[in-house]
Amino acid sequence: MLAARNLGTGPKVFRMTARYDFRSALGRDAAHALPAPRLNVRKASTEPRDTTGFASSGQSPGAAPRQPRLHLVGVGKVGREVLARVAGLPACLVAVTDSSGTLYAGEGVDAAAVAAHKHAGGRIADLPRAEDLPTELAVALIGADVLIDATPTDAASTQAAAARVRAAVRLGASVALSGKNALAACAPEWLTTGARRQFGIDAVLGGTGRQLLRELDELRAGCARVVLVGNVTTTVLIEAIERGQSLEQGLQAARARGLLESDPSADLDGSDAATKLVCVVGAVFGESFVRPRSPDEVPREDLRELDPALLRARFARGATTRLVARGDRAGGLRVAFEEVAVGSPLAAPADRVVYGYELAGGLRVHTGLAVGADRTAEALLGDVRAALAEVRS
Amino acid sequence: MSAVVTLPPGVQVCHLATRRTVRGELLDGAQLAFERQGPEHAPVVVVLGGISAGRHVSAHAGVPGPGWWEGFVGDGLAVDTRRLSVLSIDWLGGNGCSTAPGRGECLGFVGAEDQADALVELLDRLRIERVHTVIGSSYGGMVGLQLAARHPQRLQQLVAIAAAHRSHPQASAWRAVQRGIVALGAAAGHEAQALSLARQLAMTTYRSPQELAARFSAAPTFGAHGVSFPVEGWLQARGEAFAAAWTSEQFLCLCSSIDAHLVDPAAVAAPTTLVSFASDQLVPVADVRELARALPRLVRHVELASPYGHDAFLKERSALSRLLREVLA
Repeated sequence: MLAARNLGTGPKVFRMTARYDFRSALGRDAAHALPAPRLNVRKASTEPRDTTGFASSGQSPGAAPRQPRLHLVGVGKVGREVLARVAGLPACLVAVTDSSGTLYAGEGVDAAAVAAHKHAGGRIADLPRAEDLPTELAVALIGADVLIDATPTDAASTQAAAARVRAAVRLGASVALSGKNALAACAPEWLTTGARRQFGIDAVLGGTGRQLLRELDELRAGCARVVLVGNVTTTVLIEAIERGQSLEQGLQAARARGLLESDPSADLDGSDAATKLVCVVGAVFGESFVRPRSPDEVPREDLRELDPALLRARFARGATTRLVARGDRAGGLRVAFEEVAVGSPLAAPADRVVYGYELAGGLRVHTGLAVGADRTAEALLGDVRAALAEVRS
Repeated sequence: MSAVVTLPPGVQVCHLATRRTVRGELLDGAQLAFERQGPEHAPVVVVLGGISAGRHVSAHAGVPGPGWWEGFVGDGLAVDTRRLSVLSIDWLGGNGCSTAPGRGECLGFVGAEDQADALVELLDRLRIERVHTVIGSSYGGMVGLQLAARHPQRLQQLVAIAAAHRSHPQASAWRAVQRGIVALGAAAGHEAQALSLARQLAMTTYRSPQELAARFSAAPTFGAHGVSFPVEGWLQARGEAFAAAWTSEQFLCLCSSIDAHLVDPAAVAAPTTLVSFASDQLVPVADVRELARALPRLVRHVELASPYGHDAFLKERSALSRLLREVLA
């Protein structure tokens, strides 16, 4: 029987009966592991990258380069899409975690088998060699080079998500995020310091996160306001209503496109948009805030309270309606359904998000297409590839 | 392709649906910037210019600065914005606010056909079933011909000025040299100088020998740095202005688009007025005559004398205005 110390994930003391003690396996694998990751100081370099491997690893020429190690947390829709694509990466997936536990295999996890098992309704803890460790502990023990956090949006688990990300970052790992709640809570901490080089947030912000990080210094210096149309589900619903359909018909359409969580209330009540807004204002304005903002304190509107006749009247006039999230440097935050002219950059169609940053020269518009599980997974993997390129360099 | 653009206040955009271009490449997340002036419910005239032209055709209350076709479009002018609604776009791949390749990026090939298809999507978004007239000059004329071939039901008539069914090989040769200059300059870290030089070469093809002779026949000057010729100052000014406004990626994208233009005249199903200029080196009158012979619904082919060569569509205000008033009546 093994006991794990409480890492602050809750009052419980975890006892484990390990059918396979992967911490012992980690010890055995240490001889084959990469050197402990260092803080990832990313440097801009115009030098051609050394792709041969041995020059960066210190190995002798002729030896096969060690592959960076990946740890996937979250095997829902997005996580399974990641599993389907991970074989194409120049890295080794050594661990997969869901809410039940973690499977570790130093030689590499069979991604296809895990995906099939999850698709059939299985739990990671049921797999041979899996352990029901707290995720934060698993992250700390495994110490992968890149943590891929594909956990679904869940406000209740924000602190746990933040804890495991901090655990990875403390070890010098890169983190590719798709869940927004942890980023909303920690954006000023994570993105306004040098540690931001360890973060990939493209999937969090619908495919615009990487561009935000590229421009973050410029935006922090010169952006006065942000404006987002970041929730595609509401666009789908609005377009359905504009066409004369009911909200329920719109929900069916959104579900058919794979846009809805099992509980769509975060889309309908504006909290998803509010959370994304807090992510962005935290990154761009966070240093000037006295305290971090919370999505709960953002005034927002619920789609279910809108009058469909109003939406249809606007549409008949040639305009449309979008759920628009706005924030400014003074901390003013708002999520509301606004009438949007047809030529406005906010009139985003139902396959993309638009993030706007108001600068002196005009509105910097980032358009993101990472909508739906497959494209969100692609955005995550784009961040993983960028992190792997840094690891190799 | 960079899904990033900075929009000056008031610029309008149409988010384009994900699509395959005419060459089968994926165009994803693209935006088409546009501008409109005149009464909202008036007949719509689409005005399209060369690769350096964009959405802002002429000054109006909404955007008071000068446009690229001042003197032709405005209240009481040939394209009378008191009774016509004028619509124009920034080219995909160009230096305006439409989607274009960013630094180090490649947009893929964007053809005149793709510009036409994007324009049609804009018309759909604006709920314009059928435009009154498309007036296209130079590259805009190529796009107009593609529009009339691919979507003839969307326009009542076409006016194509200084444009033909193909790019003449001589013109393609000059542009190939320009592309080579720009590519070489970009690779060597001299992008601005290369763009300037390429534009200077282009300017010599846009005008006519007669005009240059009339303007720049003064004697050269000899100084400490050698000999300089009057025409050089003009070329350098045009080149520097161009280099300040364009990137090599944008130039290469649209320059290639011009040379790849090819439309079957028999497919141009809209009533068409053609305008050519005798001194046009880039679009020889012979090419426009060939197009005229093959168009199924040619209304007229007007051949104008002008010392301004290809750029006559910008300069011949009086002659073109008379023609346009007639066409738009």
